[in-house]
Amino acid sequence: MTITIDGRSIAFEGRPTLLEVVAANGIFVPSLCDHPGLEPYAACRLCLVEVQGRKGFVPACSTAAEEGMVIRTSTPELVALRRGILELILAEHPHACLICSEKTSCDDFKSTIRKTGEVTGCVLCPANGRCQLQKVVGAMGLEVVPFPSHRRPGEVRRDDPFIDRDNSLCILCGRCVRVCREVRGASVLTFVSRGSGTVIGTAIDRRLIDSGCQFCGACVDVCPTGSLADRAVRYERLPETEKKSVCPFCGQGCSLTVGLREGRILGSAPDPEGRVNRGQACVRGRFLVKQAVHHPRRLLRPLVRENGSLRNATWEEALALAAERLAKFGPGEVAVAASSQNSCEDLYVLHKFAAEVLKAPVVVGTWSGSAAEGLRALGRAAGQAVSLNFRMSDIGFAGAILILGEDLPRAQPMVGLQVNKAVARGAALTELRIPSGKEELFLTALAALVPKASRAAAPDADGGKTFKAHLDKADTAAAARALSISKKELLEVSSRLADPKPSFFLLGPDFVSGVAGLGGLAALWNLARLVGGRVIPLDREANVRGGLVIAEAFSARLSAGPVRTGTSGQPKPRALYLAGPYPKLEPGEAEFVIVQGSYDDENSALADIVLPETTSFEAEGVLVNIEGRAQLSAQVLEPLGEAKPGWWILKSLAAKLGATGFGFDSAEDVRRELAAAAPAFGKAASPAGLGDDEFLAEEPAGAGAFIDIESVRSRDARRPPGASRDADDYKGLHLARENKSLKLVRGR
Amino acid sequence: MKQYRTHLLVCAGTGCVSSGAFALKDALEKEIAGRGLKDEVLVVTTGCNGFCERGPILIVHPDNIFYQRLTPADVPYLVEEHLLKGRPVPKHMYVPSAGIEPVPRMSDIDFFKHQRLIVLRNRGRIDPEKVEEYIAYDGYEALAKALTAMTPEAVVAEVTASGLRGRGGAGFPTGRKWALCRREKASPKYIICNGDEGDPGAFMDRSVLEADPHAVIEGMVIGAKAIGAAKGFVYIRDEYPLAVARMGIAIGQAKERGLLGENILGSGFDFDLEIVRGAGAFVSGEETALIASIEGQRAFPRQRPPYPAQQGLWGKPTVINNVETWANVASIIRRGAAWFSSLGTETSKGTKIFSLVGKIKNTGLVEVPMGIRLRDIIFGIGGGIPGGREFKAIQIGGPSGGCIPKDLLDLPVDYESLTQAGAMMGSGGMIVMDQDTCMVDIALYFLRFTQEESCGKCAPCRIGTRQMAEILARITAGEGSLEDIKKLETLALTVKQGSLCGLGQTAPNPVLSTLRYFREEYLAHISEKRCPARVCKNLITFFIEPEKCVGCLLCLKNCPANAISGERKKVHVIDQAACIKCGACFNVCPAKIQAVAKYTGEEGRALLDERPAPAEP
Amino acid sequence: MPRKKKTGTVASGTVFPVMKKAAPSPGRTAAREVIGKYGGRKRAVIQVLQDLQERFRWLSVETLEAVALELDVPLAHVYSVATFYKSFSLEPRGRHICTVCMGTACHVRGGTAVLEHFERRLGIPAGQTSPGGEVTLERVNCLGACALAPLAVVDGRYYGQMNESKANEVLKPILAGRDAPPASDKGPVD
Repeated sequence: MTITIDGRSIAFEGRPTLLEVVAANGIFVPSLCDHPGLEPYAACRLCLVEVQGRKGFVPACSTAAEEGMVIRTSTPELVALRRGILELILAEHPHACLICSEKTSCDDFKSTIRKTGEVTGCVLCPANGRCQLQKVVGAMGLEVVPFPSHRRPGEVRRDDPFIDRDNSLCILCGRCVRVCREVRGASVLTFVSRGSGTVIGTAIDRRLIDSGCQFCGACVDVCPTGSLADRAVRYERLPETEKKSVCPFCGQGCSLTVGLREGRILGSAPDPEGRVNRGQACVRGRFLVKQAVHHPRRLLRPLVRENGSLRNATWEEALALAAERLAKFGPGEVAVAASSQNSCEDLYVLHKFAAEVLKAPVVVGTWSGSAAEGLRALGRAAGQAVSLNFRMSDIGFAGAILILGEDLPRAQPMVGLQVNKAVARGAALTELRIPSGKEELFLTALAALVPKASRAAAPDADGGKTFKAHLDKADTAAAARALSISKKELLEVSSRLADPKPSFFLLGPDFVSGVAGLGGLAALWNLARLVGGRVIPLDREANVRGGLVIAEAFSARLSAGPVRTGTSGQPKPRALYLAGPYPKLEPGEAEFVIVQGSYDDENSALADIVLPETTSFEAEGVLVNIEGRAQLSAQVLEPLGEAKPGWWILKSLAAKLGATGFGFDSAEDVRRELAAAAPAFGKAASPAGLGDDEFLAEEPAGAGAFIDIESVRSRDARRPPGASRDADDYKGLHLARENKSLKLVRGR
Repeated sequence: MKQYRTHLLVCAGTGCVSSGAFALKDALEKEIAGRGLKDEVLVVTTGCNGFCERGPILIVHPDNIFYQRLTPADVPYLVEEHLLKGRPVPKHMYVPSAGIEPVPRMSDIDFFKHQRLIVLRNRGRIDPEKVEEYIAYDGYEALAKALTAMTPEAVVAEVTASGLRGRGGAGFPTGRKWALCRREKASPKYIICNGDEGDPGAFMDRSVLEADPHAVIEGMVIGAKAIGAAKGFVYIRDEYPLAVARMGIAIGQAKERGLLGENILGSGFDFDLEIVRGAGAFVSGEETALIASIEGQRAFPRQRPPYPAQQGLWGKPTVINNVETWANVASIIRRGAAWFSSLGTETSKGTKIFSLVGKIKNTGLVEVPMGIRLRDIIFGIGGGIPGGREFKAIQIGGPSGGCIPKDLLDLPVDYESLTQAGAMMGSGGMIVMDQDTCMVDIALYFLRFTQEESCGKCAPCRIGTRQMAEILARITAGEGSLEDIKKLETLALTVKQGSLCGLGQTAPNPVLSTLRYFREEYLAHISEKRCPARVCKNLITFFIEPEKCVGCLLCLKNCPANAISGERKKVHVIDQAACIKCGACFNVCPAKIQAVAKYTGEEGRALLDERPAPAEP
Repeated sequence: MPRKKKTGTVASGTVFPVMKKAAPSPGRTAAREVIGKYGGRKRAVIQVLQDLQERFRWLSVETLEAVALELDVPLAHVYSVATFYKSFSLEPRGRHICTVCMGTACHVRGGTAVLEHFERRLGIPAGQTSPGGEVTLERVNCLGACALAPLAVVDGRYYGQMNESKANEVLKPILAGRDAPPASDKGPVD
């Protein structure tokens, strides 16, 4: 389809707005209230254009392009009108600098005078250089504001974590209010009062933190001026470069844009093009990247123990010493701990090192006890394939959602956004909290109450008959009593789950690691199967799915079994290689301990050798998110101090130990071998294949069969119990404990 | 039904109620009972007659005698004379002006005799709280016709053919709106009655809702059938509690009689109606804002298209018409499009209700055929300007409208003519202004109004109206410059072209129309620091003419600022430094003395210089 | 015991009943009553606030919170709506309420002077309540009784053709502090 804009014939596809069409074709039409992630609002009126055949002027942001339209964007009348509107906007916004003839010569001093209480001009403004109003004024070349100016009411608010609010800079475009409500479902920010007295505020003018704000920062990111500002960067100069990376703080894998200056991170913001997050983030990815990377507790140099205390050493020295000591232990004497916050590359080399060099009995990783692992175990026990991959955006179309054992706003905020979307579209939402051993009872009662018609539709084959017989025995009234829920309520939940639109069962690690066990999981599986729903595993670490696949690939080569369970007759390991979380070491617990990590902690303090590892931002690596999406997280800055990527440390150590097959020169080298070793990675890990929409390969699972609950229950004992990870823990750095602001947010 | 010899129709519109209509009614009932007339005479409370200034009003039916400004004390004599002796009482009748004989019959009073009632046809003759009275005057006949003898298409066609246009604003053809909505496939559909009559100076919707709520209900049910809606809302300003109450009663009665609710009149058609009260926001009168308000949101308008007929309430096709428009529908269906379109002009059919208020002798609501000349309304019906003053302008269309000057008194009242003249039909408020009205002050009044009522969503309206009001304030304070006029004109264009909704797009009209017709008044304020109407405080001086003052102490006692000094029988003097220009002295000085004068401009300043305030004694 | 609960930001539209701790406060009880009248519909928030304002004469923070909780809508939404519409008062209003109409008809017939007179007599600007909570002076944009202009309403009674001396008469009992009904401006919750 084509339209004519200013005499140019322009082709377009789909149903874009006129503003999208002009923007895509490099035609300047200013706009301050429109935003790609938000519904058109048509309030700033700067994008008015002329459409042939329509009366007056129409806002391009809220007018759909139609075949054959003839548009004019810059007639003298329009230019004058836009100028008039912009003058009005500036009458209520500090504009001394905007129309100052000396503004170019002032640029050099920007950073030095930005630390001021009240903003009276751009040079004092936190948004200087990234302000969209500034850009529009620049483009339109305004030189005078012919009206008396008014300062918008209200004091600058600095009494909240992370975010400063300055109403005097606000142009009431409403982006923040809309993103807070439409996208985040939070409704913390809102319009207060009306007319020229309108301000953006909170209920009862309370602080954000007292208004239920999660500090996702979305409002700051959409603010076109400096009215909502990230306090941490407001006094910083603009970044020299910006690089994209994948946030390693949780399992969702948001894309972030990281701003850098002089080799340091200034701040981070969600990437509008991010496949997972589409311009959204959470408090961790938005506000804590800089602090996590440049944290004083970072391990930046190799350490070796000498005369009872740790001292700095060179890599050469530390690696040589490590090799020398490790060589003294025989097969099965060194146990290895891994973290699913490390990249696939790191984990692959670690597994290979454990299996081939150390001949370790086990690599205990934090994927154990994860939701994904629980479902895998269920599949194994039942002898059927269980699909783990999903697309987060599908949740937005759910008819009903049951949340089991996860705190979505805190641990899975992007999933939470999809849940909001579904709820806004009419989905039913129930959250099951606090696992207590009655989950199976609850789930079975729900299944037993599923309307007869839906139950009848379940095929008798695939174990349906057994399951239905199992349900027939269920006493729902007794279950309701035991659960202290009215049967009516149970019935309502149940009938909503049977909604023709898909139901989603969001399975968190708390449910799996609780006492639910395989019996509970099987009950959940069968309920989902009965109502045609899906079980979605939610895990909290950046690479649980990757860790799980790699562990499975090596499972045959390692003798599976838990470390330090104390129950089995396995011998205690003599030495430990800790590249992941491990219970607090007791003095003398092992003869020799190596810690490979990014932050010092109580275990590194007791280690014999400490090998400093990069954070995710300092090294390239593949992270597989909860969806099963493999994403290449790019290196955004040079490793700090002497930290090195995990794979490099291990391949160097292997070399010192004289092992062959560790000749990796880059992460890419590792990926090449990984793709061959773990077929699930397939294209995802091949150097060329890592597009931005790659998923782990899975056996086609179909809907799966009903699972015989009793039979899997009997096999339950073989599974190791896991501990669910704290959502705020990154490689041993507890963000909420380390950051006062996050502590405040979490402490509510 | 019991038959009575005489009905006493006591007007119980808001105007008459506040003038004591219920006390009058009680007195009448008591007197009638006391005189043993209970079986012969029935006292009925009716809706507003429109002639509110004369309240409380009593009409004696069937004699058609019109009594005005009655008090309970008048009742015994009135009952005795009129009801027992059959002698109407001239002293309570309407007197057009001093020295002229009282006019006994309602139909002979100028105010009523030129009117043509369609929407207000039941005013003053039925009790709005009794559905049977509405039915007795052909009520719900049109509904029965529309439900049983017509297809929805035929109803839409009939309304289209009638030429009915929206009575609340820009005058969009009602039939076209219905047809547009009818074509939409989405369901459910909704219809809304816009009773958020916010134009200051207009109260026809209130009057219709109070006097004849069933007419609105009947129109809405017909409309619902025509477009295929099952649910409707009547949105009424919270400032109109009586209208809310009466509409509530009417809905209840209509439901009881099967005229509303399920299976209406046995036709299988279901339609439910709900009242939603506004909460004090002028912008809610804008249709998209009103929809937001019904949805429980701030009344923020949104960009059109899509129009409500396509995507309205909860995104579903919705027809919104105002009270007066809905109240026309039943008559059109009952009597036919041809009958309706025979009234009015080429483009504006039927009648229109105007509220004729301000500096005019007969104030109240009038319903007249479209196309009537302004002169006929103001002088024929309204009786001209009181106190021998001179007509200056008439403001039509509220904050969206404009002021029309004397030269255009022969303008026919229809949508197009008014718009061309810089005013607007709007909801039909007509505020008459005389020589004592300052046109710059009026422009300022309206801009302050729109600034206050702007929802604040779009920049041009929120900030533009504020800047315009400030410039006008500057001019009325005598601090304006010639450049300000240019700024006003530029701003007016920006706000008109740039604003999101009708409120902003029309907000500059009061300024533009006064600039167009009364530019010299602006110039007088700016160049001569003179307010020709002697209204703008900064530009006027109150002065006691020594040769006229009789020293009665009246002004001195009433001065809130203690700015007047003097003694009994001695000339009083205003301390200009202390004077707050409230006008109390001017108002209290007896009419036959008129010693207090207002001066402005050079004249006023000269007076100040010549006679400085006397020193403190 | 499994507990069904909705989380703060995730659910703004749960359909399953949420177990609420019923804090017995007059505000909560009143809000629940009024909301019941409107079938618990979220869209009725404006009507609910109106009814509560009628009952308590103003909307306290506790009332707003109770409405948000009972209707299951964000408090920010309730607050936003309450500050948008003029009918709502978020401050206690006086025992007497004077309203001066500022419609166009009233304006051209001297409404501004009437308002100024009220302001002087009551000693408070329009929109405020006297310090002792005796009287609130309000202005309204049109009461639709234009034929009576200029118009003032005192404690619900309409007074047409208002002027200075009439105002003095009407205000006399208020200024004298007589006829003061027992204080009822405490709001729903102590």
